[in-house]
Amino acid sequence: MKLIGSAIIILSLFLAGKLSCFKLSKRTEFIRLVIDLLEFIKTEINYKKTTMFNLVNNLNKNIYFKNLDILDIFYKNLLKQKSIEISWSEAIAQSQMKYILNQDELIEILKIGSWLGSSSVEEQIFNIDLSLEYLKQNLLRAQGDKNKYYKIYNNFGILSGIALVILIW
Amino acid sequence: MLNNFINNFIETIDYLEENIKLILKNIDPEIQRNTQEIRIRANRPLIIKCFFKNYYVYNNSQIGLDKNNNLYIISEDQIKKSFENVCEYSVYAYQEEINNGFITLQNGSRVGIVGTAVSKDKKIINIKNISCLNIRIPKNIFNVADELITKTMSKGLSSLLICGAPGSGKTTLLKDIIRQISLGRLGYLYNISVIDERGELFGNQAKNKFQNKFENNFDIFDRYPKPTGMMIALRTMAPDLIVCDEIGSKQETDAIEDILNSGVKIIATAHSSNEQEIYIKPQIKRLIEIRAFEKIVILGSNKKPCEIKKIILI
Repeated sequence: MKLIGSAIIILSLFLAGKLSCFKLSKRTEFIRLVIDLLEFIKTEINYKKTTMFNLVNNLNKNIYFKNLDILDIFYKNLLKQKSIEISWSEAIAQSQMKYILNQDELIEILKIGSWLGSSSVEEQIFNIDLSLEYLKQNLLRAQGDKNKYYKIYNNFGILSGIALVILIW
Repeated sequence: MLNNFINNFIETIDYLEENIKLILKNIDPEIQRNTQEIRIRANRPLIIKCFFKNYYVYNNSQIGLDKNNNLYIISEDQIKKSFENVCEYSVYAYQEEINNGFITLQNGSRVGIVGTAVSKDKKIINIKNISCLNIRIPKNIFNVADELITKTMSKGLSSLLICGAPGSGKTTLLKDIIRQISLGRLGYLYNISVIDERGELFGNQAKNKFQNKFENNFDIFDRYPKPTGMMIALRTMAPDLIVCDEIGSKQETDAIEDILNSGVKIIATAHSSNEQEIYIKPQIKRLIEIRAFEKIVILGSNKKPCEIKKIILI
């Protein structure tokens, strides 16, 4: 019985460590993808003036953004003739992002829906640049966190499990 | 034919906010068929223009002139939502059109925009607080140009200037002329280039579902500035005929002069409420002097659209 209990404790703490590592990796990946997404949107708005519907459709088909699950929901919401702001916020609410990103990062990404498509090219680019600046700083922070804590969480899970089991025994 | 008119109305109201759309959808089909304009103003009643008169629209989708009878009032939010729909949630993509005061929908309907102008160096750079949208539904009346074609092109293609007051049916006539000539009405499939600067003749050829229902042999230069579009058409499409709507600027008359030197025919329209007014406008006068057109067609009043009042041989 004790042996089974010990195995469960070790496994649980090992998984908790792995989950933290996964979150650290995903956080950088998500922020990087949103940065690339905004760069893509910036180019399309500035040089092609592609309408939002076509733009989101193109992004949704783009294999580079296949891990960004918000795009599919965003596109489907637009198909249902929901406004950009509602489509965007609903997409984020249904995305994995909300479990991975910090509250501040989520708020910043949510804000995108409030101005996307609703103003002139200059204003759109100004807003995109502001968001990009914020997200790039956060990407650096996320990469720093990943470098700092990835190995710790990875090993700490299993080691703390073993330590706990030794204490119990 | 009747269904085509209604489809144009239905396609147009599809851009409006849900409740407005519902009210207009339930209007009598005969009224829908004859609707020329829909005016939506913030905190004001919904008004449609049909049979050449303005009418209030009531909550039960009936129309009338009684202003106390259950009027359907438009809210600011409904205007905002309709405007967003018209812009396809992409204001940046339509900024130039918005600054010019109107957006042309894919089916050719023209949405006039009224609000507060934001100016910089005496130039409008944006319009905020949108308070009114006026939607003009285009008419695609088939064979309306029969008389005009018979009277002006019995001996083959000729250059025409069609003049008339706003609402006199210039664009409607022009569209039918293009359609008929492109279908071989003159006994030959002429190459036609249409310079549609404001997208109100046919809109985008690939996107215009209404237009795609017909076989046509013409190319639409959608949203090209007229002078540039005319020169590109001349160089690239080997046209027999170039068509453009509402000419009047110096650059446009210069481009027409260049086209004439290459032997291509041109059909254009110009604003003018009577014959005298044509000669007052310097650019039109110049075109007449250099015999850019073989015939000038003067249309009747806006009470009888597309009616030919006079044909002047140059």
